[in-house]
Amino acid sequence: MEGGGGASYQRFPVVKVRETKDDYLKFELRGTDASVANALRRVMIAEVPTIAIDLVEIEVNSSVLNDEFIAHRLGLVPLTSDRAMSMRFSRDCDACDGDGQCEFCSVEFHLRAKCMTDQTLDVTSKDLISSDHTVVPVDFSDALADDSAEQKGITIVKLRRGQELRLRAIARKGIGKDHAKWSPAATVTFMYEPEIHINEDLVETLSLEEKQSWVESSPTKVFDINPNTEQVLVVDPEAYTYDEEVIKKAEAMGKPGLVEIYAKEDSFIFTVESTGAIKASQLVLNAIDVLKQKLDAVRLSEDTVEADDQFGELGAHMRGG
Amino acid sequence: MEDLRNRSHADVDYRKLAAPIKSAVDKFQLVPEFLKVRGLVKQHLDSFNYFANTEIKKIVRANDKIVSSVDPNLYVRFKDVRIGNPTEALEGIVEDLSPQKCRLTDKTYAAPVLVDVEYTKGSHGGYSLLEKNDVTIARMPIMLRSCCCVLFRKDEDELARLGECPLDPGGYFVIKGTEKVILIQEQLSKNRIIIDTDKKGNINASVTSSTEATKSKTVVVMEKGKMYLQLNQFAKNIPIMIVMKAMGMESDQEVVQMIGRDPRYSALLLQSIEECASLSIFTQQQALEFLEGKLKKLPYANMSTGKEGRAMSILRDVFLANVRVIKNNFRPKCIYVAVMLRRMMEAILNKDAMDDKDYVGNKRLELSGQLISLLFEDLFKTMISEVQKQADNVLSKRSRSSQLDLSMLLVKDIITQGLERALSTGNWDVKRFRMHRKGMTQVLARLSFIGTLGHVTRISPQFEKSRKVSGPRALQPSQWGMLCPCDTPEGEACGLVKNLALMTHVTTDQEEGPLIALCYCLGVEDLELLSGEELHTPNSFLIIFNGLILGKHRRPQRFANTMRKLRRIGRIGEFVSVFVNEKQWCVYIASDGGRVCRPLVIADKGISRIKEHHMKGLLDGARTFDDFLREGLVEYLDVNEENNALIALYEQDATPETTHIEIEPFTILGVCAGLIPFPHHNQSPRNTYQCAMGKQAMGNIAYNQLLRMDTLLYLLVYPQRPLLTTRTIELTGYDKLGAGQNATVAVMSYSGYDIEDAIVMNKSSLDRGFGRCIVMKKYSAVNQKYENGTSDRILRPPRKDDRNKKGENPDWERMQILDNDGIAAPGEIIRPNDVYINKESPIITKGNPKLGGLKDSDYKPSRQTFKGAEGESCVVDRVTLSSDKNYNLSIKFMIRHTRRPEVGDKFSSRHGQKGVCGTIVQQEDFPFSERGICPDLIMNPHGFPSRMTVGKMIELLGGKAGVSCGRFHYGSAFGEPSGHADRVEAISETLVKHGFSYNGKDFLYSGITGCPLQAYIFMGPIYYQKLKHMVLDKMHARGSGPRVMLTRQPTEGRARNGGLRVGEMERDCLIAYGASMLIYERLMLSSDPFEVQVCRACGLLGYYNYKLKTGICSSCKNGDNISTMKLPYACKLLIQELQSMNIVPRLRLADS
Amino acid sequence: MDPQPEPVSYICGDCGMENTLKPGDVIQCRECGYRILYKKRTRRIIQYEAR
Repeated sequence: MEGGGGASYQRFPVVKVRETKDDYLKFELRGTDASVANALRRVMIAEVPTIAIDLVEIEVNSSVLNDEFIAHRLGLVPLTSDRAMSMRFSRDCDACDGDGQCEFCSVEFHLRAKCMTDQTLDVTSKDLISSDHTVVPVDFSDALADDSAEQKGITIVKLRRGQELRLRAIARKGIGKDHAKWSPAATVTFMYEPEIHINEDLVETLSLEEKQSWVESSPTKVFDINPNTEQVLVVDPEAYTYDEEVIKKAEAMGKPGLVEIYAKEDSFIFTVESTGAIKASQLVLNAIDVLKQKLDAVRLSEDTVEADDQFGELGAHMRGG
Repeated sequence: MEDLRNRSHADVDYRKLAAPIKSAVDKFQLVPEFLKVRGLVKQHLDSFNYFANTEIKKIVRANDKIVSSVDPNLYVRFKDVRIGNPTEALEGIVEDLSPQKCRLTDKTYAAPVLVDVEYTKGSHGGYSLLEKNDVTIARMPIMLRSCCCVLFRKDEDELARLGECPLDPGGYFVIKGTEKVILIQEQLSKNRIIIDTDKKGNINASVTSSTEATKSKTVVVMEKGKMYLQLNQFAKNIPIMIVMKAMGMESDQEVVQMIGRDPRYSALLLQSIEECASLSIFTQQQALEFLEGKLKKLPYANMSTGKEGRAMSILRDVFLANVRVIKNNFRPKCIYVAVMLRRMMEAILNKDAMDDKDYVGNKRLELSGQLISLLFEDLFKTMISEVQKQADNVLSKRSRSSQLDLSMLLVKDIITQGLERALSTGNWDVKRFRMHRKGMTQVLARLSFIGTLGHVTRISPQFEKSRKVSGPRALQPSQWGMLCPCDTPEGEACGLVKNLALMTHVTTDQEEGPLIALCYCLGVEDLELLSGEELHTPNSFLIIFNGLILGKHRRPQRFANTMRKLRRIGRIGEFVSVFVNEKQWCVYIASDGGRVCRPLVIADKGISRIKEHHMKGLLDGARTFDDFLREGLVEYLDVNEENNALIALYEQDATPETTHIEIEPFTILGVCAGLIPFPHHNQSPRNTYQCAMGKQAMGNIAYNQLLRMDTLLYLLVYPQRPLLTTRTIELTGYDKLGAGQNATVAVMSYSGYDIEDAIVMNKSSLDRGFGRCIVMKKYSAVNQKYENGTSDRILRPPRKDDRNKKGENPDWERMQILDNDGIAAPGEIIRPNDVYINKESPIITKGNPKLGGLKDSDYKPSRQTFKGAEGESCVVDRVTLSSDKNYNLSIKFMIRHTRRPEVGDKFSSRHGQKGVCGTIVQQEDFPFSERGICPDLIMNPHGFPSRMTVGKMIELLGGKAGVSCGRFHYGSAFGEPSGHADRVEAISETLVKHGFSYNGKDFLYSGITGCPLQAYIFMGPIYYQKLKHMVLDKMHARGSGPRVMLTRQPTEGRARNGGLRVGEMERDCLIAYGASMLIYERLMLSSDPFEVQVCRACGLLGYYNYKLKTGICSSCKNGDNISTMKLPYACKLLIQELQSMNIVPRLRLADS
Repeated sequence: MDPQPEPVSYICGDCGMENTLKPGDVIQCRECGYRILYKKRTRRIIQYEAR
């Protein structure tokens, strides 16, 4: 296939949001290739910057966990990172004198806990006191849930009477590629939207019991039978997990071709759950920004050779024509 | 319908119709109840308790008097002996000892052995009888959790206060701070007739007799048709007829009658009779004289004891020592020999009648109590003779000021030192039995909790890894239920080292007297009253009790049944076994110690005696296992008696002939094999590999692991309990400690770095803490005190700003982690070459004590530095200060290193599927499912077909179902019929209910491209263990480095920065390639090249004179014929060593 | 260099009480008589990477 001729291969993806909560987002992405969807997913996991604790200075630790154990756990505590996109990386910061602890590139935390009572003291993420009120450990409690039971925060260590923990922690900006503590995504996944065609004529030849047994052979509830008209309907096409149980069952019943299921190649349903560091919707937007930045780094770099005869319109397109 | 009417009534089994409906009673609860009372470690405890309570008293009672030979009126008599509480006497103060204290301060956990003595004091003038109580004669090391131990019967809180873990099994000793376990020794049973073939192929019957007085081995062998007796005391073999004549059976007819009238036997005996006649020995006197002539000459000339002569005394005491001769009545011995001959002849006629040496019923297990009692007896006797000697020494001196107090001499260290030395070195030297055994104790393995349990239940073999004999190494059917079939090490000791099964019990000795009396009451006709003829009538059976022939009985089955009935109601001990051997026409009754036995449910004609209400009582706590024994519901069967029983595996399989029913089938496996889920779906060698690897897995050791100071301690940072457990895991407490993590595993080929069992790991999982481990090592330092009163000292470290007298400040950088007292402070990060203790030793350590104290210049620094690999930054965890035995200051450091899994670390699942981490891949590159699940580990599917570990696949299914529905699933061995293992169909149903596919396969998308993968991938949680082989401990490289002084070759071993050897077989490969220059380089140039001056005239080595710049030959004394050549130094060394032996190796040179 | 080190305090293994010891003292807790003493944690601040 020759390039040129005026036909543009540019596609125009469409995003439609299905469901959104603070830390959960479900949206559809249509009109683009699997590689783009995957690139978006990978960026969301690995390249969206967040703020997490990176350096821990322990003054006193008489708990049962040793120092590096507690440091590791502190690193994994999610911090609200709305500031992250605008913050500088510590290594790039010129304001501080090289130790990476100035106010522009880092946030300082303190934790002081000592157990005085005979009851076990739970040191949680709520005990981390931040120097910047926009960067705090994520609060997981629902506002409406019962008060004291759910609002404890993430347990870091438990202390007995007389045990004490005192430390100072520095949180910095980073990306998931470096260490998983900086990944803002709990899970990011997408599925191909299925297209289900039921062959109505073949379905007519089935008795009600056969229809019921065929509907039940799917482990997830994809089909259902309308009680009045005894017709088999597609109730939830996205519940289909691409196991081909219904197809195998149809063949076993002697009716191959009863249903045809395809996966649409350019229609994806994304499910994004964030750790609470960034809102899920913000996560997707940040991911798109980061992806754009990476592409710009290539496009605008002086090293990019323009081979117009090879790329033709694509080259012009990249340059912003 | 026609068929039914036509069928005759005889076809319908009315008995089955009328039988009560069998509903399977769940007998599982019996297993934990049994484990509370016996089993697992309790063998060691029971054996030690028996020793501490009973045997020690027997020993002391047997040797209770010390009489002085100078003055017979002075004596010491031991009245009572007992073992006190573990205490320690320090500077006069008696302190209680706890095992944890002993471990931390390198002491021995021992308790004083207290005796009550009665002794006389005085001289010819008058004697007074005095008594003294509670004299300490020795300090006996105490087994943890035995009846004398502090931890006996304490609950969790009290154990925690003593610093001890409640899950720790006990059963070991603490000697000088190290935990030592006495392994169970396996031996052939004593005092039994064993028919065997010897090296030349002759059949022989041997008896190894062992009594309190002597040990001997008697062999009757048949050579060339004639029977001979072999005994150590006799120089050559003695024809057996002569021995019989010497014992009183003078007529041949008597002998033949005793053996049996069967003409075949007498035919075999004919030649022996002829030989005896040809030597013209017809009377007892002649026989005894003949024997006297055949005695071995003893190295020291010992006068014969009286009229009898040595032969008679040997016949009485040494020959067949287990048959006692009372008042010169040799009849029981003759009958015994006759039975031996008869057996031997049966074996000659019928090869099947030979005894199998590997049959578990012919083996006895010696436990720690027995071994310690042997040692104690020996040492006690030694002490007594020492006291006697010393008393005699003092008394024989004329000038004595005070009267001798014998009790003062008793306080000696002989027994204490002897016991401690034997336990710590593992060498058992018992003079009486001429026993010199090595390797009886081992340091308890504390690599993992299961490793500890497995070590305590290990059985050490009698054969010392004998090479080719495959008989002892094979799996015996008689091992069923007693010894674990899969738990044996690979390699040299395969099949020889075994482990106990879950519900095995090892018996201890029981009183013989009452049993013998009981047998006579039940109708056994005494041996004395019988003639040879009557002994071997067809339907009368010999009754043999512990190897001793009691007599015969005409109705053996009834006798056996009566004995069993008495045992079931508790009139005789529950461990007595009664076994009717139809082939040999004998009934064997055994009550000795060391037999393995296990409990079984008694069934009357196929109906189990245990009913619902019994089990309900057990569950409610109203009944215990001992109640079940007493009520005759459960009994102990040992291996021999199992031959008389028909045992059903499940209740539903019981037929009317069934006599017993198994309690639970999964108890045939031991502790280590009990970790494996669904082992009955695996190929059996894989279970064996897992038994070996489970002991190397990292995890929690005990609840007090952070208080212990072990030399090497491996801990897992985030241990988990398995999702798919087995009943054994819950019974042993493994689920409370855990040695692995449940990893989400996808079985697919990925990246090509997973070839040959390598595993691909998820970097984000490793970031989040998967597989992280902590390695803790111990370093110690002692402030030595020397003979001249000086001692080491620990100094304050120099700081950055300090300057010494010369204005220098050396070494402050390396001592930054030291505290003000010169010892490293916990919490500091220690790097290689950092000093962790700033110690100085005095230069002069011997000689007279110097007056006036020592100056600084009299000390030289003896700092200890941390040796670790570059880049390894460890942290000082804990520092302990204590004083050891000689009141020196002893300092112990625990240094910990937290390690993250890297490429090269070894992991394994619980099915013998081990693998090394091949590569670490980012999470976004890993395949993901629609729910967002991304695996932690990717395993290569090529590991399944040849290994056939189906159990792993079922574990994945069960784990996935467990995670979805919230309940732990079970996978005990053979547990599907009884509900202790979940069936695959049920698991699949659960999976389908939660939206997964029934076969555990998921639809995954590739993380790299975003397209779905073309096959469904088997993904789910599997319990993975991290093994202690980590690449950081093994990686080693050397360019050039230290050399051995003697041969100037590179050193060996990673610790000494050694080189890798190109050995003989590698050299053969290079030869096969014809790569001669490569051999020259490897074997000489890179190893130990050495230039020598060789004299062409005499062929010997010369030397190079630097002033004259020539080589000179030492023997020719001139430099005319010197050539230089390169030799390996080892060769030059060989030449010089030969020269030192007066051999002249001359080198003849030719032009190259 | 001051050859006499400042008295360093150690923690008893049993009761947890702090004891100050000079060189040459017998190792024993003053309160409960336990013969094993542990060193206290360093007073310096140690830095760790939270990885």
